Amino acid sequence: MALRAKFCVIGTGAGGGILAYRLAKAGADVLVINSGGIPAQSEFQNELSPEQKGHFEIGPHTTFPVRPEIYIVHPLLADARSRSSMECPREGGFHHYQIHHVNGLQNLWNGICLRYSEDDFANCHSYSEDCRWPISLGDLADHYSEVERSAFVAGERNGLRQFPDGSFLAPRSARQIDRVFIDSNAGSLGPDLFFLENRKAVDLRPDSTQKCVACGNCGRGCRSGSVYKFSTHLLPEIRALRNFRLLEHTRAIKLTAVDCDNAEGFSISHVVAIDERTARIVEIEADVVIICAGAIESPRLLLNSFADDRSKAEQVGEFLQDSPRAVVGTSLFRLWFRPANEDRGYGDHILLGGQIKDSQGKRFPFVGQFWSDFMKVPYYLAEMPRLPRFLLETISRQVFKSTVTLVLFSPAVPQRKNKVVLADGVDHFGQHQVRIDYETSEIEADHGRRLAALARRMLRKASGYIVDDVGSPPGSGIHYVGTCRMAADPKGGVVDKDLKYFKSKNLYVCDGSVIPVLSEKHPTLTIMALAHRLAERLIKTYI
Amino acid sequence: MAVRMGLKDDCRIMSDHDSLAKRLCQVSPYAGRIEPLIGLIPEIMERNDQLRPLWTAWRQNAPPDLTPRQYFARGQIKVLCDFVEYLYFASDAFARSARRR
Repeated sequence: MALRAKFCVIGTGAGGGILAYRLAKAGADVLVINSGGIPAQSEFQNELSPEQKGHFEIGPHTTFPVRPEIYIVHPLLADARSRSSMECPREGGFHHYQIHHVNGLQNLWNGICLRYSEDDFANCHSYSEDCRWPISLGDLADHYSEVERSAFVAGERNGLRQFPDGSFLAPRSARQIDRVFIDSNAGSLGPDLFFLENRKAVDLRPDSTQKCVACGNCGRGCRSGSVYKFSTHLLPEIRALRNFRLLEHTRAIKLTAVDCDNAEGFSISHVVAIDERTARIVEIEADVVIICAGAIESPRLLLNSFADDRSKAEQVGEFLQDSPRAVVGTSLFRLWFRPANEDRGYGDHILLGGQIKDSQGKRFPFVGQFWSDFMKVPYYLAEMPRLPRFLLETISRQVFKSTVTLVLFSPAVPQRKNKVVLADGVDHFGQHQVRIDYETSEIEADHGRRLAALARRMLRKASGYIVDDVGSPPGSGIHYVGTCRMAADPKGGVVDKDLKYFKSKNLYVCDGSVIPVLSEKHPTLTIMALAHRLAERLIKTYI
Repeated sequence: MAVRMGLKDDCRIMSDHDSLAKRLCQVSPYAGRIEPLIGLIPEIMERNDQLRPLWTAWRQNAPPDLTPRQYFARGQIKVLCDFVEYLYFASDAFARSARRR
């Protein structure tokens, strides 16, 4: 099957969704391809269906024991494993989470929206001279505002340099459990600790029909339609447009490059894709190709496409980064024997951030989220075999409503040796898989230890006396960036400051892979803002 | 629940399944606590990739005089215990009812 379009967008995650929407609304001829289909509406509903209630959320792919270290066993993720484009990670290696559905990993996004600060763009906390932002906050400020408005980001304006303010809806007020945590820690950990309410892409407008009960990271997928996703927020607006097409279940497997006579490098003439259901090849001729497949899939596509001419994919895959983090869980004793309020569901309403010192005395920034959910099994009690069984059970019932988790992130340390490379194995569709070579740096490990200690201290202050360090293997931050990093010149990266592939005249990359340095903050809002900026550039240039 | 909404002719079969499920749950010390849920267990196990083979084997091949601990291998017993324990903790309402008893 052969198709033609002005713009071919590959992927519908944080970058691809915004980009496709903006281009389509501007009247451009846009063809979007995506591996997998649109997730069922039941994934995004406020309440569990009777069937889900009846089954206690045990799905076809639920794996026992259900434990926190595999807490992201969402059916969407489990499904991706059978079609993975990555070789199975070795023991202790990098765990790559991927979702082969429209929205990509944003299906499990909990909506946290933090702008990068002036310091982040100025590389003030960078640990690598090889990776530098070629743009400033000023270049993205308007685009941040646009995506904040379209994603309905709720938050409070705090006037903090580390957390620039944006265009926010009014936030939700703190819950009982949030207040216990804030009141216990406010003022006791020095002036460098900030609490931020919300800053999440949650539709809290009074007239919105999609209300969150308690939005956020349930660890098993978002149950609420109020957290922004392309398929639920933007796609309905453009789906009926004649200039917009979405090919679901269509996976890009190769780009066909044609060398140009002039100094502009090569151009992409076709995107070769495969229909995942019929195995038919789809050839798409496009004037402009934008890869938005994520920091692992985008290099996979580029490396597979240019396997015979590696010069076309120089530096692709290098400097893979993921957020180092500490994850600590507990049960807040102060909430024992108290009735849980109605708002205790899944969700993190409180963000916190600041700076602490590493073991060398150097300050580094961190950001964290405090979230609570109903842990199905009070796991940390199971690790206490000395307690009699009946006591464990009694305590378990009491802590059921007071389980909280504190997750703290620190900046990544970019390393060239951390990379995505082509592997020998092939995936379900006969394409070369990729392998991830990844090693946590000593600095990141040190930061992780300091953050874990801080998290334990904060939880203890809030009466979490039995604290469990859940652990955080490489890749579990799910903030994958860096593999097609943007740079001021071709020596420094893969794409230019307008996200155009240096070696090509009509190829762009727009996803987490273009972020050169991962700060402590969640990268999603920045990816969305970059996509908005690219869309404006493309509209000006080509329409 | 779907499992309870079959034709009348299915009642005997469902009842057999309930009794099989009840015997199967004896593998866990939580068995007594999840008795009200016994009727759901066959369907839940049928639709889960990890539990389906265990349920099928138990339903088709288990001799009536064997307990699950005698019939299954150690790893399978562990899975069943985890499953039953999960059910016990999986519902707030159920936890309350368990507390009352």
